[in-house]
Amino acid sequence: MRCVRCGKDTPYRSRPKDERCSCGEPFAFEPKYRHPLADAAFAAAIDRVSAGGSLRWLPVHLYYEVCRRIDRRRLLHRRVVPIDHAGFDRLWSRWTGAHGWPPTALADDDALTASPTQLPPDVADYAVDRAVVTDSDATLRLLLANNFHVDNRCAVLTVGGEPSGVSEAVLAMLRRSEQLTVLALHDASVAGSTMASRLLFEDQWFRDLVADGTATVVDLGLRPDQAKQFRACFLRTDQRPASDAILSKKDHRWLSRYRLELAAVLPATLMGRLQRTFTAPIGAVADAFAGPVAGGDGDDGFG
Amino acid sequence: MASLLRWRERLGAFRPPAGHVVTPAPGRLAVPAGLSLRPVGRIAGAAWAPGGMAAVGAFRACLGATAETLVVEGRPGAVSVRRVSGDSDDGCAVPMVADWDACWLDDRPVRSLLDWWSIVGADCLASVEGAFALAWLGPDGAVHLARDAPGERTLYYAPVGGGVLFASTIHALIATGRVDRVVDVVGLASYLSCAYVPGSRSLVEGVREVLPGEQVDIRPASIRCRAFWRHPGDETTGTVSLQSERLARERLRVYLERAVARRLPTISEPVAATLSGGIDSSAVVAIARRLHDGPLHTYAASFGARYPNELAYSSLVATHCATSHHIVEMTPKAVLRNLDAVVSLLSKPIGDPLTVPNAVLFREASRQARIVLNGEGGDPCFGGPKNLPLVLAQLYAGVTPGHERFSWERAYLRVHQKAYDDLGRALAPDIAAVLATGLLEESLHPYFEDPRWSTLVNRLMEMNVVLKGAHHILVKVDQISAAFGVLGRSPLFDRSVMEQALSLPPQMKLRGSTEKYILKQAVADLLPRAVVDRPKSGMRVPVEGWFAGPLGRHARERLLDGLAPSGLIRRDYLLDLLSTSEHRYRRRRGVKIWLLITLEAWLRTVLAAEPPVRSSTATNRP
Repeated sequence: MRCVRCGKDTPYRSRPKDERCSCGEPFAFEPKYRHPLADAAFAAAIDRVSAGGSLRWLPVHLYYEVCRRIDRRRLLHRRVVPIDHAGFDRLWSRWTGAHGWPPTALADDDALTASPTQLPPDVADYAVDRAVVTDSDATLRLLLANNFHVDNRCAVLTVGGEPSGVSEAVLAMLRRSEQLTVLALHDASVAGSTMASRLLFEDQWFRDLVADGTATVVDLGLRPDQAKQFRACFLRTDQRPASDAILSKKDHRWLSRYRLELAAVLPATLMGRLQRTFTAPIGAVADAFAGPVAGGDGDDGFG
Repeated sequence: MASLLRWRERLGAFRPPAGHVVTPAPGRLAVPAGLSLRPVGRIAGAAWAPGGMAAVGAFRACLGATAETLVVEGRPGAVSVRRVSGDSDDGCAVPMVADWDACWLDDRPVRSLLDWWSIVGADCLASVEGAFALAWLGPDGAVHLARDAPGERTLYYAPVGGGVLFASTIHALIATGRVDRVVDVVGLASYLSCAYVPGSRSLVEGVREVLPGEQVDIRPASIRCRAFWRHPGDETTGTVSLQSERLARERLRVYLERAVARRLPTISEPVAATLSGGIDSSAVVAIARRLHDGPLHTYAASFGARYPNELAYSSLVATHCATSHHIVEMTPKAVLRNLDAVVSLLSKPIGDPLTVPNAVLFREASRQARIVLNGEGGDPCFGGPKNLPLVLAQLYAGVTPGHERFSWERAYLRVHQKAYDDLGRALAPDIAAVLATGLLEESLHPYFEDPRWSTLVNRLMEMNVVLKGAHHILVKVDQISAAFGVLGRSPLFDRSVMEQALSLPPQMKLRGSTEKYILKQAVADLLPRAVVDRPKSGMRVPVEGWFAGPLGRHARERLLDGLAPSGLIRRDYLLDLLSTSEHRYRRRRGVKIWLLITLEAWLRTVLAAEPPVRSSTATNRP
């Protein structure tokens, strides 16, 4: 078992009772008996999720990466998660207890309420041409913590109106744009499958802008047809899609059984995909009348 | 501060990478060894320095023939002044030296040092427009330094052992041997964040730069800095009517024409101009064509067939304005090969790859003309891509983690999109510890608290002008053009143009997503529609992909063998940057690698340089 600090390998027979490497660094896990992963594998998962320490992330993102690794290690080849959230939480507290909170990890209990900051009067003159709307608070936090909004000059919101205190001002700036691109990002779930059409058809969102051609809504996912790219990340659900939902039979069946969270996508992959969609010319316009809400430019690139 | 690094101690460990010696080679930029070839000379001076004579000697050796030196010796009450010019030691007509170009007081050109002397005597520096840097002795024995409001010329100064040294270039100060070659760590962090060193700090500890529009009064016990000219601000933010827009447009056009006219020669000699095809340089060329009788040569840089769009626009304007157009082709390899030569000209490093193409264009232009116009100033005065990201950063500041104090300042540094977010990982631990207290962010704080500005757009534009304009763009133009004996002139940085641009209501500059709206309107009749309507452009050097191929090897040598031993940047950060692993998000490694190899080149060619050797029989250069 390799130590995460000094790299020395301590075989099982030599592992002391106090569960430490000879350099003093504790071991969080004992894979022979109790835990699904060794420290080195957990550290590798953190390295992957943080893109080598260059990105911030939430524990839920690590959860899915750990699920993938456990599935690989046990040769399960399953779609569904091998451990549940509670099981991961236990692993996570063992890890932080032994090695401390990783510097790139974010706490997921910060409030999302922004106190309206002192803004100069001419903010009213700005128009923002890009927006990412998501149904996942975790995704919102991820993007903001990594300054995605600053680097890509785009607004970030949830359908629930987070961050509260800011979303009204931001929506006003979006409405001022002469050519708005909205990327919809949601879980592959019953609620998520309706999100893009909400953006297209609800007055409080972009119905009028889409109607007069100044706004384009692109549904990047996650959708059931993209789910096959994910291994060991499905959650089970007992929800059913609404009876009037516009879904194919396959999608309907999938959504009745499973749920796939956005957090299953690696942060680097997610942000890279968003960026590429913003900078590439938009190939397919989201057309709600062409069956299920159309995807992006046909190349999904998730998972 | 014991934690600061002494450069000299590390000189032994630090050897230049093989193959990067700056010698002339076929096709290589041969930058003349003297640092001053242009018509009006550089400044060097020493005041109250014990052993002043030796310091003066070192200045002259470093600066070349046309340096002018003011030496003040003695104590207050018993002060004598000598003005030394070139190799001769003439009598002191007025105790003043000046480095100036195309200056006007109201409607009359400034012609001589005597004019300057009466200007400072009458305390009306604020009424002078044009490029100038002055040093003079006041009646009470104080030494005064002054720099023009946009910052087209500059002065560096360093208090040393009871006196002060000052010069137009940091090279001169270092060459005296009286300035310790210690890296200023806040300057270093600024450089990594902005790709230049804003404000009065330099990359050398103890050496300061005069700020634009500032006068520095140096007395034995104190150094006082005060602004002799500041923009009044934008107190009134009225609504914009069609009427006011038309008036603004017409007035801007008048100022633009005057700005170009004042920078053209009075006779019909050939004039050169850089022409990227963007609205800024195109506007300058179009106006110059109207006002100038003689030949007009335009120059554009090309990086090969992969980037035809830029050339199409510049050629379109060149044809429209009937200029002699020259396209200068450069390969990435050529740019890298000439990096050392160009960086060695700069008093503070500038990590913008454009410096090398700029230098090559100046060299080409020097074959045809002695005056080179450019379109610099359009972005700082009329547009600027940084505004929107900054607004977004501030809107969300309450939500993002780590939003304690200095949120505006952090956002401002971050939107430069250089290495600000990497500072903690990149800098040596002792330097990072010094900066963790917020010194870098704190230095920007006064700009965000300035009560003169009520609109964000104008506040940021003024910051752009006084920071990026005065410490990056204009010094780059000055220091590189001087080496080739040409006068680089920037009409869009004309003080009247700048003053009006900053006073305009934000809606005239940012109309929806169209930037530089009012500038485009003011010159719309002079240029083809395609150029006016073109979206945001600008000369960009495509570095992102450069270091994947053979240039990567050069970068590796420079960074690992050259920069890492300096103890400023962590070796593991450099290794990580050089690795080609795909497993990273948006690293912008090309930009960062360029930033760091420029730093290495500057440290090697400027900070660690030996002063050039001059023989006693060397003749004056013209």
